[in-house]
Amino acid sequence: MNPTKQVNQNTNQNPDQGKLLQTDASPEISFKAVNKSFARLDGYEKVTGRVAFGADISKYRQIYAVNVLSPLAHAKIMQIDLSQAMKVPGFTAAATAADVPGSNSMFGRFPVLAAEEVKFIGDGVAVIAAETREAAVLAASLVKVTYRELPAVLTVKEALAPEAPRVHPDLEDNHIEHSHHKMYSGNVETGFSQADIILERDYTTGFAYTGYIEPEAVAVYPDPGRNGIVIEGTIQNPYSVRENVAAALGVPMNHVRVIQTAIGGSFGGKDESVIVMAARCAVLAAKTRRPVKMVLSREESSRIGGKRHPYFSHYRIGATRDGTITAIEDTVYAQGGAYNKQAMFLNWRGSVHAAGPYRIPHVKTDIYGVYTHTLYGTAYRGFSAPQLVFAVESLIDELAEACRLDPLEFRLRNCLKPGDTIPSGQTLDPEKMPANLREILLAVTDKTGFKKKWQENRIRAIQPGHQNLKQLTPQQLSGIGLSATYRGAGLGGEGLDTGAAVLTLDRDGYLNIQSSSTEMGQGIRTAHAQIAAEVLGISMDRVSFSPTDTSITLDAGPTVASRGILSGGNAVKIAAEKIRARLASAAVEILGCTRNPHPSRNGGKEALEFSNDTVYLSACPENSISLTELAMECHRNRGIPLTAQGWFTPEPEKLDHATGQGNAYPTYLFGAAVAEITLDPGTGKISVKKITAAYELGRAVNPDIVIGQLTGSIMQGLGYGIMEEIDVRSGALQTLNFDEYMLPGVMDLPEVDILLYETDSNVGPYGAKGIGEIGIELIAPAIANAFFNATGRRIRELPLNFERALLGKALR
Amino acid sequence: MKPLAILQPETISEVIAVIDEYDNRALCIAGATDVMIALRNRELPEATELLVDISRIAELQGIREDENLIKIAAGTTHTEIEQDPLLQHYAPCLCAAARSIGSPQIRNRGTMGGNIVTAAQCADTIPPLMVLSAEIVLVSRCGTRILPIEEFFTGPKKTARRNNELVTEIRFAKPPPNARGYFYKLMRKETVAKARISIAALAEQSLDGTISLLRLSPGSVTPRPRRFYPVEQLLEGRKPDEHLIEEAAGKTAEIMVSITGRRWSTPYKEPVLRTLAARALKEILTIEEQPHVQ
Repeated sequence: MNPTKQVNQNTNQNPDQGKLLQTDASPEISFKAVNKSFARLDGYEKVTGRVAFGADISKYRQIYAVNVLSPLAHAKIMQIDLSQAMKVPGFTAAATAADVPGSNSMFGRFPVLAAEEVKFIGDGVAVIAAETREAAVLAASLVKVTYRELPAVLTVKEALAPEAPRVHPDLEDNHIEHSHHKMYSGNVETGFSQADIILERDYTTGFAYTGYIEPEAVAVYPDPGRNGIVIEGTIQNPYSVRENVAAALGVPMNHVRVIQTAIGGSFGGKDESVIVMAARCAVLAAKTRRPVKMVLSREESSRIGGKRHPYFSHYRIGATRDGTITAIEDTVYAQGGAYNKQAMFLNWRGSVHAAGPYRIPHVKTDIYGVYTHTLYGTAYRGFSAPQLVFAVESLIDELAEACRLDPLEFRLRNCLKPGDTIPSGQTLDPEKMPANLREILLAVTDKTGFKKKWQENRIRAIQPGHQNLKQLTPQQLSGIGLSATYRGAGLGGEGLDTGAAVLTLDRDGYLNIQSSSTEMGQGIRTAHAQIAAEVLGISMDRVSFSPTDTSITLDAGPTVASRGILSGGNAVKIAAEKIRARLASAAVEILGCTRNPHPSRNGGKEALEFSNDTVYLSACPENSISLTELAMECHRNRGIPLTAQGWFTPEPEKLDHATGQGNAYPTYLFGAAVAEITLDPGTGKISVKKITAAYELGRAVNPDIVIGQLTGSIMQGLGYGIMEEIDVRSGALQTLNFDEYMLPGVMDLPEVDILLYETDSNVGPYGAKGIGEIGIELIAPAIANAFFNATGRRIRELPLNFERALLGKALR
Repeated sequence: MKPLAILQPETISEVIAVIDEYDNRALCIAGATDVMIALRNRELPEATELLVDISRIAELQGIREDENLIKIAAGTTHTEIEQDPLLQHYAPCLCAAARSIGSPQIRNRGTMGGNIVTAAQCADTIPPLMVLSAEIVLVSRCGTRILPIEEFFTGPKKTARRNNELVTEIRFAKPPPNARGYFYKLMRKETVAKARISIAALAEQSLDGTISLLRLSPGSVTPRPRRFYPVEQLLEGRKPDEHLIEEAAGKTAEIMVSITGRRWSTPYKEPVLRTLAARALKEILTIEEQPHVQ
């Protein structure tokens, strides 16, 4: 088994985290650039306000586009009257479904503009362009649409009722195509017959808004230099935008050039909404031959921007009296909304993880996606995990209670260990995947004194009369809760996980990276630069990057699923290694030595060293050449190309999609968290005091960025757990801005103590597995379990806001 | 939308002359924390033609002591209120309320006059002003009108201010030296959050423990801000004990329900207001220890 290195990271107390990592590094591994907290490559531009975000785009003669959105959940469009809108001074153009030149059905059945009928409150009916945004807003408000209202299905229950109106009449019912995923192993009836204790529980989570600081913005303009259009904007997945807009315009993909601007947060969300916006603006740009810009207001972004899918999970679980889980059976429904680009992938990921990080011999999971006449679900950090980990980790706590074991003891007894097999039949090979969940659970609980605190609170909570405290005492009840998770790295069986990069070492010895992964604040540019710098021994200030531009960078799918490091980073590493090999071939001649027949990853064993912007003989460091001279020599005299492509695809997964059996993901991350809360028993107000979380992440390419990602994730998890709730009464979104939608602010930040566990997993570059998502999923269940610990009451619905915490249920 | 003119007068008398002439077509703007949002959302009053920027009028700035009165000029910002030593001494509950408003940016811009003229149900400074028995000074061409704060609020977002009147000052008599004030705001997050429920209270006890003065005003629970007189009357003249406080707290919740009726939020607000009232009273009243009977 590979050694595990633990690195203490306390965000509140150790500002100098990078240094800590260095001093703790295992002696046998020493890195030059990786595993160090370099400043972000794009940091200066961002903190000084120089960077251009989507809304900053301004083009000569641009016009402004504004959407006309449906006020009804389901209705037939009878007539669209533009006459009043056209009278507004400054009105330039309008488009409806009839103006879409190509296909009006994009991936996931999203129309550019609704043609026959609207399917949710927020569906686009028309788009108006005018000389100013104000004129466009006014004109859009004057578009008169006549609807004939139709019966709508607003909940999963309504959608699945017999004879329910169908969201898509060409389908047999409201099940989303290919969204039912199964994970069957063993025989659950056998498992339940062995159980002494069986629990059956329902857990519910609602929509959650990504709430990025920057609302969506795009600008579309006729390409000034060639046939086609250019799209710039706050786009997470430029290749998806290119493909869908090309189809909508009926042109080949190379007529659509997509350039990503800096993005003020995305978290998976700037996908469907920007595709639709770009397509609408493209139709207007084609019609007017003028640049068309669309920037959503916060209210519009709330209506059509990224939302996590609601999950309705029914679980049945059994255990023997001594606390060994024998079987788990679950049926889960994801509310997909009116259109769907995600449920088939989301639910597949969900099906792999629905039984939690436990060794359970008999598992039966069925996850379904359901169309409703409501806003649609998108990818949002976690991609099924925040919903399911809340359910499973609440359930495990309940089962532990029923078995009269404390939550730690119960988890230690059942958690996955190296060599165990997960429900898909995949074995956690100790060499490749050192599943150290046990170690992690012990670390977070030791560090917090979990057992003692949990027992004390529990004893207090079951004392008779404790509920009387409710009325008068200002005394806060304290609670402590535990949760654990594991997470497949990258796309796994969701789809082809290829990453791509092109690296160019210029003749002056400076490097440029064109990566297929997009930067959206997560720091991928810096991480990729560190990986390239590690290979080439080049200093970080010599590394730059190309903006993401579909006419420059390579199409290797979307930047999702925390795959920027695993597949994107490996692609960078491969390209850098190619350049290194070419440089080495020149260097051996110049320095006059023989080439090592095995110049590979056995660090320190090569004849040549690449370090400090210099190449030298390992045996004789004085015999050296600077990278600048070497690059110049290759360019000028030797004709050696110093541009290289790297493509990387993780091992093909052997997976049977019909049964879910096979190797689901190339590797897994593990995590555990403890939440310490106080509850005001008089108001139901939960204050999260401290989160202690540990993650096994392979390797932290840039520890500061990793801590930043995890801390942000933890905050989003906290909001999901106790604050964030989208009110969609009658299908209409009530929570349109941050006065109603409660996103946690900086003053809500608890003390955060993050422990990083590094292992030499050989799948990602230098072992790194990708840390973008795992931070979020542990927090809501840890809080819910802490609430139980404080009160003896269990809340099975998120968020645990004042009303649920006090009354046990939502007010409406 | 009609084009709006903006005027930036330098004195109160200029403002009064303009608003007298324009009547409901003029709208005063100070911190702009409400007006700008209304402007963006196209929710300004239909008739508005002229914005009168009163944020630079020196006479509308500052907090001063005038014999027994504390006078807060209407243009004083929440930040200034939060940090003012005079107010910290005489009305800490008002400073606490100002500190709980929005974010530092909003507190730097928003003014006390704006907070009360907007008269939002959840306005944070109103409950403390209610228990301080503040008065609102309104100036118009016809002269000066001074209204007790309770008479100022006539309904949700409605006040007794006439179109030609400018609120120039909010003032209150210094509370008795041994009076104790209290303010609490229940919020869903720690910054930039509206009050779910707030409560302000002020009490004085005589030397023998008898409650000689009690004022109580919960916020965000009734359509217009109110003092809860029956609760005050229940307590005044009596010596507090746990039982009396519970009774008063129960009465507070009862009054709220009698005003609003049973609404969807009542199952939450009723018990919580009772709790918050009890806590407020416990905090400001000293309960004499009962002698131990051996």
